[in-house]
Amino acid sequence: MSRNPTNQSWKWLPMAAVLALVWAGCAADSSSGGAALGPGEGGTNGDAGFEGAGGQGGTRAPVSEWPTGVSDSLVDQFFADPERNPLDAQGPDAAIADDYADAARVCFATPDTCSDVGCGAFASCCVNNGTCCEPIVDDPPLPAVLDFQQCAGQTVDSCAEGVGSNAVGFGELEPVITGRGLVPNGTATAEGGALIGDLVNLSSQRVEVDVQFKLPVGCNGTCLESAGVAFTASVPGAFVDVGVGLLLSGSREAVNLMIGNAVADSFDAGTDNTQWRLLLSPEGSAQVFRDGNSVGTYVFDAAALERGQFVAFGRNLGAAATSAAIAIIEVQSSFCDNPQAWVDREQISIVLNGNDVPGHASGSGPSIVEQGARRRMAYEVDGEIFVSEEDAPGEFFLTDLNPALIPTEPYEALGVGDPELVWDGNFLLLFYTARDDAGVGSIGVAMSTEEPPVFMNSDAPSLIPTGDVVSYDAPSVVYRDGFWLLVVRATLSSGATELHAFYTNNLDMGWTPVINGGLEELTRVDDPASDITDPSLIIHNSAYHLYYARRTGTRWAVELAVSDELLLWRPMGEVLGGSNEGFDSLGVRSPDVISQPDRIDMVYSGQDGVSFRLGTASRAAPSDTVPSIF
Amino acid sequence: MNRWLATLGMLLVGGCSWVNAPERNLVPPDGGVKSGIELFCDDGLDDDGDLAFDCDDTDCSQEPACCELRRTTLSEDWAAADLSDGWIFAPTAGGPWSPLRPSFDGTTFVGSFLPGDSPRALLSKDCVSLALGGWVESSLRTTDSTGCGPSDLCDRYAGVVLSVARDSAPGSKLQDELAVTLHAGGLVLVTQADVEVARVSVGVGENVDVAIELRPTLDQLNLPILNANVTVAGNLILEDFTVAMIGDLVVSGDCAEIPGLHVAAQGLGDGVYVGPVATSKQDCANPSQFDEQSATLSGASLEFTPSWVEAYVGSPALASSRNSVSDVQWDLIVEGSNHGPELEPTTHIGYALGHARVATDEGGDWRLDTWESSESPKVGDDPPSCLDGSCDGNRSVREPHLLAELNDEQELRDLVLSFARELVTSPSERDIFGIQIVRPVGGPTTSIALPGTPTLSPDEIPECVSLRDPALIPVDPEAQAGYWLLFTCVQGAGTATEIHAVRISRALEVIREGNGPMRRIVLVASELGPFAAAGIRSPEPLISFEEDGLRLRIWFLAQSTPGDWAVALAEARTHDTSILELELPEPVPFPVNPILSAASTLVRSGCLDEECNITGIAVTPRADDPNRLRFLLARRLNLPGGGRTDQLIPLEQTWSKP
Repeated sequence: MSRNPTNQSWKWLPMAAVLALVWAGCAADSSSGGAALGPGEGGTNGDAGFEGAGGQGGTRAPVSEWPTGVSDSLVDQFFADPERNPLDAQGPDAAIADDYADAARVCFATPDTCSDVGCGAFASCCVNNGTCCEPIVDDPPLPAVLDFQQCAGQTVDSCAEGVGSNAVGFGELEPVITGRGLVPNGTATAEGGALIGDLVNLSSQRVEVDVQFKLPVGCNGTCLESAGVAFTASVPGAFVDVGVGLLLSGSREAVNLMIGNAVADSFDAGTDNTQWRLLLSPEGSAQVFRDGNSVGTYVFDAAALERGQFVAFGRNLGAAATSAAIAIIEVQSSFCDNPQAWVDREQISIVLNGNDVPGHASGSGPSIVEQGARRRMAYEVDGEIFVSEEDAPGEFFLTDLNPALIPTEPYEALGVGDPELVWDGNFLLLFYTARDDAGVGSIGVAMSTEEPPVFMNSDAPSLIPTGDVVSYDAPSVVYRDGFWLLVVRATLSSGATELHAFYTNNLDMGWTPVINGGLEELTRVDDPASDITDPSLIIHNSAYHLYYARRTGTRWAVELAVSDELLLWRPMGEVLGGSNEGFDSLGVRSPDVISQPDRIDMVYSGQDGVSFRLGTASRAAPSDTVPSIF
Repeated sequence: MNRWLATLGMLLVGGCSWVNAPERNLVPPDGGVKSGIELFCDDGLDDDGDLAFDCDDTDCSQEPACCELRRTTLSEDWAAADLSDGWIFAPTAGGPWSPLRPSFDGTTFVGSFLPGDSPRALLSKDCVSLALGGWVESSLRTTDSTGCGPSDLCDRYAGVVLSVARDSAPGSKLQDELAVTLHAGGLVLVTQADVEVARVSVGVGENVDVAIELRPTLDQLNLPILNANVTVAGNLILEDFTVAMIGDLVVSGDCAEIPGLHVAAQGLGDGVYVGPVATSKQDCANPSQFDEQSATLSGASLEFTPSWVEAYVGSPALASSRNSVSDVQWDLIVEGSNHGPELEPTTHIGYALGHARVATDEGGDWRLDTWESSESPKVGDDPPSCLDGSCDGNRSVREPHLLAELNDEQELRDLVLSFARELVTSPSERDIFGIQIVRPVGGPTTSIALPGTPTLSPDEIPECVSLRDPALIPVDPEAQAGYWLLFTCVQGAGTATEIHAVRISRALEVIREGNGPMRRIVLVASELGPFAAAGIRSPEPLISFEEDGLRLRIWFLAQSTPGDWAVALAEARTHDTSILELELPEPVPFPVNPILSAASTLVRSGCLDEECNITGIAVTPRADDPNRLRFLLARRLNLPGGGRTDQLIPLEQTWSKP
């Protein structure tokens, strides 16, 4: 199963540790009522099933017994990418397990530590990290190479056109290209230069700019000669409003790193042959290299450069053969997984025969699924669940006003909600919260074979609260190759809530809890001033992405945690909050996401202080850039 | 330092400038206690050992955590014929409705929120300011408990709500940042987001007084929040509950200056009523409030010769004294250049200092056109800057600070000028500065020749490559024992992150301690909070000596991100004035810094594209009213067509002496 089990590196070794934890879950007591599917000392499986009540789980076995009880084929499936399972290579070993867990703790300790050498073994580290970006090779926004020296005598736009890009000069005097390169031709009162290429979103794209400057001749510390490259968020007027960039100062014989129009640091300019590199990562990191050596890493505001314009700029008292110039620029762009870089936020419309369906745009708990070429969205209105179909981005339609699921069973007495649509390749399944007449929540599942979808209720829930759990709600389900994962919110007898994860490879056999992981602790809330709910689990770029909504006071926001194996979690914090305007001005809750090639789409409920209305957003996120662990 | 930030309760409003501000009365200190001062007013400790804790200590009486001074912001007795003048009938999307207004014990209540198909609310059109702290008071009364037990939720209720919303959706309650609701059976629930946070049961048929006390403080991340204590029928049932992030409060309408919330009387069904509603705000300390003054100055209005100020004027220093005829004399020194500071990253720009003076009547404001000024710079070269190599020998002088030493009649004994002077000898080694202190300063037409050596050189401060932004603090009222010299320690090519102080003698010589200057680190950006994350500079201190203590206030510029400069404040207080010769009391950053940001209305007003940068701040007490401080805020504006210019904006603020 592994890509190269005979050629493993040290990075594999610690991964085995997680299997010990996984095994503990596999063999755990299934307090939820689902069947214990795990190996080892598992207890008697209950009679849980697709239409049955949960059964008794197995007895939890100590971690130390893990090697003898684990089923490789089952444990493999806990990894978001089964091919990253170390078990094939190393076999079970508790010491290795500890190493793995320790390595994860180190790598997940701070937002920056995932960039450390060795952390590439964790797919989770690719989120919000400049090391897992996807090169933009088709129609890149910026030219790969602009060798101005080779363009001597041309205009800057023709030079750019020659490499399939575009450029527009600005300034009182047009920039010129000489044998030294691009002379920006600004003056003491206004900068000159050229806007190059198309807009770049530096909050989701990683850009590597290599530049070689020509130092002015005869400056003697007093001249007005400068040349630089930068990204700006505004069209240059008299001055370039530098968001981040490099500027050669001839009089200072220095190259300045400019951030926010201020000099963040300054480096000796070297010679005409000195190679400068500015590496900008979407998490807001600007790293400067001089002749291949890093000379510093700095923080810049990447979010302010979502529409960043690349610019070559500077000042010269005359476009002479001695002026400061830009000899050559090379740019590589790639897009990265910045979980905060959501775009295209808009309100969802739901129509029937072309007319808005009253109240449905304010439905709650949306869930989207890809069913072949179709995209469907389920949502709840007044205790009933509807399923709509997408006509265009943000536009959904109903074929009739009939709910897809209505409460019919005693365990659904107070209604059904929190729909979660899942397409297993053959059938459309609907998981949902059902509340009985006491308000106790359980998780129901129903299947549809009709078109439009109509779901038949089961006569018993798929997951019922037992033990210390008094209620379950808000299910999120991942299905892959016959293996099901479920994350729900559990309300404990103390009143606290936390998210719980379960798994099964047969819905008829109920659910087994994933235990001894960090999810419960990460998501536990016991304060009435806050709340965590509405989990949405996906697998993207070989990692689990668990989105969930957190309420602080009255404000809702979506947070993200990522994991390789559902046990050790890397919290990413808030990734989507209020937009300050429109239907989601104050907050966002009920996220439901789907993984797309190089993109993640989300539906959610936007909060404006008066009501909640359905909305959608998406963001770029490479889906096949996790480093090999071999 | 973080402890200070974490424990002091304060207010927010970075970024707002509040005109027509109330007087900021300073803390009346404990009589006779010389060991210190109650530095933290909500930490549960007796910081100064005077057996008075937190708000029980008079040191804290004016702080937001303790202030009891009130100013009414809303008073509604429900007697008006037409309530729609001041109240929104929510939900506005539903059909019209009108509440009953019965009288109980001579007091008018509002209730019967019918029809009962939806919660309904009378929502104040005006926002009530609460970010500085405030109070909301009302009475609730249920007259019919039929079908509802004393501990039961009921489908008939009424209460008081604090909300950011301007409406509700039919069938839904208002979004409640905090709500106190009486259910028909007598259950009082306190909720947030419609989630219960406290409860108590009360009697039927009696008035139930409700009081919500709101105070600003900081959360664990040093972010300003608004906390509440809720008292029902005289019983405190909820304490220190976080109502909202202050940044999430309403900042429009009546809350444009001080953020707040809308207040509402909300209910469902009949038989439960809301009595008169009154709100008030704290009326104590607020260093974010400024009175705008007329006569905004520029290089041209000061009649400086364009040859040295045509492109830039900033970094003001201001002093106030009485002249021989008891008029108020204002001395203003600025830095200027014939080239804009935007060229700094490109090449070296030279600066010079100019001096202007004007006299005004007592209590009066200065005019634009009566300033006496020197044609050429008081210190430095004219022009100070050249781009063609024609003035290689020129050296910059920058960032002046003026300390006015006054006699008992507030007449000028001495002006002491400190400034940064460029020390380099080679054109390729620019931007290395030391500090120069000069006394006497003379009049505007008196030029000052630079001494051969600076008062303080970076050679004497190993971790600083350059010393900038000087300012002087006298260590006694007459400065007989000298000064503390504040300065920005520049440690690299980027923005400075530390402000240091070195002891200076009356003879303007550095006082030594061990092998180097007697030096203290005063402010460190990383310890101040997010508002200073990208650097600090330009300290502007004021010290007040009184019989029973001293207060040191240091205004400074801080930036959260590069280029986003704002004005911040730190304060130090002590009853023990004798320590000042040896130690500077540690300044405590004001918890809701910055007190004035570039996004504020005051700074943005008149700016092209609403983009203006704060470039300097000067502060001085008025000689004719030392309780009143005059500020001079320097800002740089974009001009149509791409140019930039500078303005010096006069502001005032009233404080009392400790």
